[in-house]
Amino acid sequence: MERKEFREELFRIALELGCSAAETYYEGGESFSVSVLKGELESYKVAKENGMNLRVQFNGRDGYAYTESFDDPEVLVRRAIDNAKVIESIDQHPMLGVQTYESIPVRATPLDGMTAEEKIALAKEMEQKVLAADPRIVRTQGSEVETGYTRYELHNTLGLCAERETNSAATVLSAIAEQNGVVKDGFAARLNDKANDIEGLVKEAAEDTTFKLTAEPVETGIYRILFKNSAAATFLSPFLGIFSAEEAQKGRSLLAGREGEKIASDCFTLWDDPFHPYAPRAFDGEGFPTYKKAIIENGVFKTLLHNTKTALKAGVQSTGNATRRGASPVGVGPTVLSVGKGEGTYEQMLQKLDNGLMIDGFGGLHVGMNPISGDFSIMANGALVENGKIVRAVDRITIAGNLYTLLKDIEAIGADSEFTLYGPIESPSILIGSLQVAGK
Amino acid sequence: MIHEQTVNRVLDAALGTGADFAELFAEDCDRNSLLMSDGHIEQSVSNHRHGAGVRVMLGEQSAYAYTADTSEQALVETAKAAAAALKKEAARHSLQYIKKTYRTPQQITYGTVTNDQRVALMHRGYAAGKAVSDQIRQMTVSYFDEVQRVQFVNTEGVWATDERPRTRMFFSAVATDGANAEHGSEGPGCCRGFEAYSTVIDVEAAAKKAAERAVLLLSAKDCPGGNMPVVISGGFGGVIFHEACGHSLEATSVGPGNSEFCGKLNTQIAAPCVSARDDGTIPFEWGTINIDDEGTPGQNNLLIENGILKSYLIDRLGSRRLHLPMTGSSRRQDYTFAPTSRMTNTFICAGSDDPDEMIRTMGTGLYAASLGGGSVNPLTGEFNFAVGEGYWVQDGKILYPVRGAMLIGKGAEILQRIDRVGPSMWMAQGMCGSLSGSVPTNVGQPVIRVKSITVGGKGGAM
Repeated sequence: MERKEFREELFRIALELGCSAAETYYEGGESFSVSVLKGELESYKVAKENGMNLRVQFNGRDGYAYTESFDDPEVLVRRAIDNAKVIESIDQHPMLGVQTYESIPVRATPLDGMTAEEKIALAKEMEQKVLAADPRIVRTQGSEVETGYTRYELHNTLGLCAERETNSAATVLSAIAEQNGVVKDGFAARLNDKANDIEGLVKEAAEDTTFKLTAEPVETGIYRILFKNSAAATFLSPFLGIFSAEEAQKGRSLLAGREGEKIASDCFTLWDDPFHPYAPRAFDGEGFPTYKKAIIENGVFKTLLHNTKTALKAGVQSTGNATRRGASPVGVGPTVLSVGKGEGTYEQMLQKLDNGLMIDGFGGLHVGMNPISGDFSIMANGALVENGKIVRAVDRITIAGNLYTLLKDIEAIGADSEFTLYGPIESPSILIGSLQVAGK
Repeated sequence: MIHEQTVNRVLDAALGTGADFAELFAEDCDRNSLLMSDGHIEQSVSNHRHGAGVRVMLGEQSAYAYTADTSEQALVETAKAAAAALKKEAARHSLQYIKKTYRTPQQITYGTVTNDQRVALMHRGYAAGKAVSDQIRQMTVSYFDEVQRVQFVNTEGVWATDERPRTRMFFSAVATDGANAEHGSEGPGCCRGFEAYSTVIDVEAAAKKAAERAVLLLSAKDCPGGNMPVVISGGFGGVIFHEACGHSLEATSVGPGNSEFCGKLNTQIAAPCVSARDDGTIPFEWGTINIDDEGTPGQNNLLIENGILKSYLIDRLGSRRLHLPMTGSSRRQDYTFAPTSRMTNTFICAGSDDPDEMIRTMGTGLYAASLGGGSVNPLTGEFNFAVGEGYWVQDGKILYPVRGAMLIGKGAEILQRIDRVGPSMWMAQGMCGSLSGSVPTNVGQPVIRVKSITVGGKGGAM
């Protein structure tokens, strides 16, 4: 069945079978990715995705059913109603009616309009350049170009109609370097509007890899730490649940009820910015109009993130942070997170660090973090810094501490913002007073 | 599923640009998931996943295209999209198949199970977990069951269909003493029908374990850091082998030359007390397969024998790269991924050393009673994993619980430093993420001792 017809049938049947309302969330699109190895095509992937998530409200409860084949609307509606009947939670989750939204242009990327052949040629060029960048670089683990287009459509029987599209692009380059029997790998990536910054990509991949060749651990002890910009953003990514009102209401966030409290240094501000050019959108996963807000401002915790369900429970307005992905029910999450800029370039931040460790990568991040307590104990790599200068590479160490302690221990924030590759978070480099390090 | 006439047209289109091999993978999967928070069912979702993917190969090159639309027209277009990667003349071919049907038997199929039955199980688990202590502030129970129906056809004549039931419950408890909050979790699962819950999965026991672990961690001290001997419990302790060795034996890494174990077949890569297997044939286990996701029957692969490397885990592409036979190890999360070599049920085999003696003679270090997850870089062998429940051992005596430990090291070194292997092996369930998505795997081992590993923790130098 065509999508629109399928949706209309779902609504008709749902209302007929006694639902008070029904809502569909459609996510579909196309993607392309190609990987080149040793000048040859290594892998090539073309995809067409299509999924319809149906939500019904039956006797005041939400039931969900998801399908990737647009036939049998009655089966889907009955499944959703079955699921609604079994809900025991008494939380109401209002559905939205008609809304007005800001108009956001579809984000273009520099790879839009490139043919498959051109993308393959680009991937080959990336590989050639990184191999030529340093004699110690012997090969890569793949040079990749990815592009995609996704369309989101939200409709319901109360008149909600929210549709948007987004384009995405990524160039990813890995490298393997060898020296004196030591083998190390590294990589770099450029996303969306930066996807054609090939010079920067090649330089970063080459330097990231060759720098690690002489990496050694350091002595176990306590060190001053500088999280390099994108690593600072990566570090924050597994903890983001602490800002969710859903997690707080379930007793899984230590920030519950602490609005107005100082939880971080004065210099730390954290924005949730749905209009950030990285991934702009005018409405959230349930169609609520989005807006920019400070989660933490000058160290003071300002607000949790809400959807309409958590907001109703807390007696506040939604903050436009409903999430919706594939088959999942409406959840809560950030849009684009941005740590506020302070002062100083990366080199100036190294000067402020003076003596300690610069950290620019992690291992075991998601398993070594405890988002409930804020404790973390994770593998890390970076460099030893003496008198404000990088002395040598460091790896095979662990760093341990607690997020809440760390936030209060922030001494300075730079102005060198970068995004992490692991989520919609950007941060400048962050200087921290001390962390426990285990190495030799 | 997809009829022969359509299949032939799809594979014809796939071979149109000179591929020397093509395969079609079609999937239809019905999944039910429920979430209970603080004793109330909060979410109930049905998920019908449906789609197909076409892969073409020419030598060591491959291309993959997939679609959610399985009409003949869409499938043929998908085949052409994959074939567009190659630009040669089509070779002559004739398509003939040997058809086989596989199905994991189920006594109670999930299509006949009602939500009320699922919810009843979840309530039992919730009650058992909450009853452990009034320090349990919050208990989350999640449940899923699914039946995945797949069809593989390839140009070498394989035509196989497989029906795969799977189910798992996950208990997550948060305990608090007012000042701190800690969590513990437990997630039993298997490839059976709903009868799993009256035969092999003990819902109350799992919920209790999760809750007990959370409460224990409240009184745990921060683990000291440094290099020290570590005794690792069995079952989920097997994640050390999964990360330190398993991934590095997958042709995914070995094939392109990106593993520290490349070129090491029939050499000593582990201590002589270590033997290990990847066995995809153990009936009904979480990682078990009838056939892999290229249509090759699952195998019991002996990976390491008395420390000597005997086998890699090899998929079709890996087989071409390494010139070694396939080992029934090709897996993928779903049709949106091309398959690659992965693990199934992977474990260190039982030995004969006494677990009490391991602790008594270890000196000072860590006893890791349960592990969290981990990750590895197969190229360098550098791995890490988190310790869930740990105990500090001083002069061979267990003193007190510790928390927040992370173990790191290099696979090849750790394997050589195992010096004790206990007498009984058991397995635990996990989800393994890699190039072909997230797949269910068992990890396992007996209790083992490692002479020294780097341990990171907040508790100062040891």
